[in-house]
Amino acid sequence: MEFIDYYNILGIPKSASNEEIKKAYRKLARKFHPDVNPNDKEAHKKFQQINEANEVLSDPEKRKKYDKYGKDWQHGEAQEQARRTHQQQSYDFGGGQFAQDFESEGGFSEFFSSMFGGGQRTRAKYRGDDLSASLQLNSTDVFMTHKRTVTINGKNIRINIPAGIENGQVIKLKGFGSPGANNGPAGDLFITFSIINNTPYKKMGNDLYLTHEIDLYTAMLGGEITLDTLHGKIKLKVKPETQNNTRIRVKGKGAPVYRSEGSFGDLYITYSVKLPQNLSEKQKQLFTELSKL
Amino acid sequence: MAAEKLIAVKEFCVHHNIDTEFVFDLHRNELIELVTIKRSRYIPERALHSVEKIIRLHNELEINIEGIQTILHLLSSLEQKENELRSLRNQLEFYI
Repeated sequence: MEFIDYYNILGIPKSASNEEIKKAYRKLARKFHPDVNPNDKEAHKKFQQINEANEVLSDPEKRKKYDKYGKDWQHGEAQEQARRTHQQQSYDFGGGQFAQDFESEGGFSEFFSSMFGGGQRTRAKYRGDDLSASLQLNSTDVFMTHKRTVTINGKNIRINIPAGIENGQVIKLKGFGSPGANNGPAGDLFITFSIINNTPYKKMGNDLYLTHEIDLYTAMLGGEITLDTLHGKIKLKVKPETQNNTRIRVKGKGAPVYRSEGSFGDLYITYSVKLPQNLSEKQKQLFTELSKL
Repeated sequence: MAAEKLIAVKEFCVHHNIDTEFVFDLHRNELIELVTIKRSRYIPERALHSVEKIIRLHNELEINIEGIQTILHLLSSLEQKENELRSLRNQLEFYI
C-alpha cells in the first residue's frame, strides 16, 4: 500500500487554507466529474482521487492526522496504537491491523481506509463507478433484436440487443455499474459492441453491398438468378445486355435500421460478368462469326 | 400502449433533498420535461436519469442552470461527434 500525496492530487501547497482547498477541489471536480466525462475511465479514477483528497484535507481532524504522520503514517499509526493499548483505552481507532479488519467502502483507497477507518468517515453520498465492457457479436447476431445474458464482474446481466446496433456503438445500462458509497446511486455500465462481419456483404450505413458474378450468356441474353440474402433466398431477373459492373438495388433487403423495428436498408448488387474460359473450337468459331456481324 | 410511469415532483424533491422550485426552474429553462395532471406535476420515469444528472452537476459542482445548459449542450454535441466518428470509421471499412 503506497502513501498518497493528497496535496499533490489537488495541486496545492501544504500550507493551503481551507478556502484554497475548496477552490482547488471545485476546479478539479468540474474537470473530472463523471457526468461531464461519460465513458472516460481515467477521468473517473481521477475524480475518486480528488474526492478522497478533499475528504481528508477539508476535514480539520483528518488533515491534522494526515499532516502529522505524512509519509510515515503507517509507522506513526502503529506507535499510536501501541500507546493506546498500553493505556487500555476502550475504543478502537484503527491501528496496524485495520487494513485487514476494515472493509473498504466504495470509491476510497486502501490507504484512506487504513488511515481513517470506517468510523471516521463523513457520510457523504458518492455515486458508484461507471463500468465498461465490450461485447463481440457477429453481424448476423444483430440482424434481429434479441436478449442475451452477459457476465460482468461475476454478475449475470440480461441485456436487450437492438437489431442494427453498429460496430463501436456504446449502450448504457443505468445503475449496472459499481454500487455507490453511503447509499449513493450505483454507476452505469457502458457496453461497447464489436461487430464482426461474418457475411459476404459490405455494409455502409444500413445498406448492404455485394458483388455477384453472372456468366456472359445471362448478361447478354438476360435470365434469372437466385441469391441468398440475410432475408432468405430471393430471385432476381437479369435484363438482357446487362453491362459489367451494373449495380441494381433491392429495396428493403439490407441491414436492420437501429431502433426502428421492421425497417431495413437496401441491398445493392453489382453484377460482375465472368467471361468464358477454355473455349471449345465450336465456341471460338461462333464468337468469330459474331465478331464479323 | 403501456402507461408511462410518473414520479411526483414533490416526492422526488423530498428524496433528493432539493427545493421544488429548482425542478420548476429546470423545466422553465427547458432542461427537463414535466407532466401536469390535475394541477400536480410529475417527472416521467424516462427523464429521471437526466434530472438526477442535472441535480448532481448542481449539487456536487455548484453549477448554475446556465452552466448546466452549456454542459448539456456540449455533451450532446460531443456525443453527436462521437457517433459521426464511429459511423465514418465503419464506412472506411467499406473501402478496405
